[in-house]
Amino acid sequence: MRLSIALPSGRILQEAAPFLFRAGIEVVQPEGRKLQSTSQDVDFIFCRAFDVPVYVEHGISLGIAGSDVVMERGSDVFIPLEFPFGKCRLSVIFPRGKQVELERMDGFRIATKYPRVTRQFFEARELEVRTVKLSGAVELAPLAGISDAIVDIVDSGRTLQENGLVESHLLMDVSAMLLVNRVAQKKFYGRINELVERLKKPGETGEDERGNAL
Amino acid sequence: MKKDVISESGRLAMLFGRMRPLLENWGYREVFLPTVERDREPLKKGLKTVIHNEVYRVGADITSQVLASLKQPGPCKLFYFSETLESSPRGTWQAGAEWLNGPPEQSGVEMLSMVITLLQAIGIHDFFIDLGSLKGWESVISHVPEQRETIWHAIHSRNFGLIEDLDISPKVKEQLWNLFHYRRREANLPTFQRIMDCLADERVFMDYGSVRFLPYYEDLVFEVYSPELAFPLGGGGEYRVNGNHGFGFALDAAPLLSLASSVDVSQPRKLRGPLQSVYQQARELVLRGQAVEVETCD
Repeated sequence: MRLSIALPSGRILQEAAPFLFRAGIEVVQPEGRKLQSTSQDVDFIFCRAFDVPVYVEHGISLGIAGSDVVMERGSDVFIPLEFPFGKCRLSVIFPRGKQVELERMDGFRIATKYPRVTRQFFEARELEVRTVKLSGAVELAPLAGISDAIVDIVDSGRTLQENGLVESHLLMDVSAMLLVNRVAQKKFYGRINELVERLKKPGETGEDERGNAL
Repeated sequence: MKKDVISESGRLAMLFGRMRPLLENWGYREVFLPTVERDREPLKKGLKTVIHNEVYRVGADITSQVLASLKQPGPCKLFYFSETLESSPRGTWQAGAEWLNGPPEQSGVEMLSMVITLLQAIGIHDFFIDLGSLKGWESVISHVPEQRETIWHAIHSRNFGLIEDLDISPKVKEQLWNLFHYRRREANLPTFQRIMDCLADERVFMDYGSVRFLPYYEDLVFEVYSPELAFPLGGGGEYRVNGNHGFGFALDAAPLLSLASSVDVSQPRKLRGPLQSVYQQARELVLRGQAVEVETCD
């Protein structure tokens, strides 16, 4: 039986690959525009970050995705490990000069890629907001006048600064997580438990992803 | 419900038709419960809706419906085929059974035996049943009650790192670690071992990682799955509500249908003839249990 791993393209993949390598799994980059690759005993699929939890819930053995995406999808998967990379924040963001206290946001219109997390956050504070679901470039929404604020990922804050936006309230700290399919956890019980332990202790092999001594 | 309701109904009818006699042979009687019920304890799941300022649940969890309907405590063996909803209009068809107020250990052996025979009867042999113990976890968690919520969250997500970060004694951490990594063909609890001995089935494991989170579950819970599918086939467990002990299980129809190899009903016998005589013949055959398909040639 072969393990399968769903990986998002982009920064998380770049940061995850060395961790997986040190745990004994070498990520094989797909050729050309292919979205799949295989190593000796692992099949890899490369998908959108938002889809990783969905692939894992529906049958891919393992996946790596940000906790923001995991919370938004609400997929029924195990999450045995939080990685020390992919760190950022999910926050409420306003146009500069238009910030208000959280308690005064009742009835606000919020543009976001995270409508589920946003609703849960405000409902827990007994505030009712309207969410506008967008798929990207969310910073545009208040500038175009279609929302009062946005909820989005903040890393360095440079994009916000350049677009005249200000981070106001923190929803959650985000980091990359390991996801495991519920049945795969049982099918590959020993192998997955061992992998989780090895991923917790990166660098123990004493080699980097190219096999060079560290 | 699926796009093609009629063909989906046909497949469900074949599946449940194969399961029904087996459940009856185990001595259980079928129960038909209302789809919509006024919301009350201990109803769980379902889709909540308000009609004339009263809250109702549509397609509530069947076990909770049975418990809510229980007028007099006493032994009772029931089975059902029903569609349940979980906070969305998309339902899940399930086959399940409940033994209320039976001897706890015997209930466990009987329910698990029923699950095994039901799966075999529909041609599913490649499956596993993992038993978990909620009391086993609680016996350790009770030493650190202030961390109960975090520990249960860690168990639910299988994230031992959350426990490693807690300010609790190394001994408790070690005990929790041992439970996290306990999946064997023998149990470390006498009751569970007796149940496993009675079943004597290589497909039954003790796995503390198998936990189910309906609030009425008491101790033994189990999950049924097949290595051929990404989703569990179903599960169940023992519960106690208002002093009544119960043991029940539910199997989801969709994964069963995708695995089942022997749910086809026998082909109907084709009859052809004049209206009067062909239906005379059809009546006789149907009474003898033969399916028929009639074509007239008047």
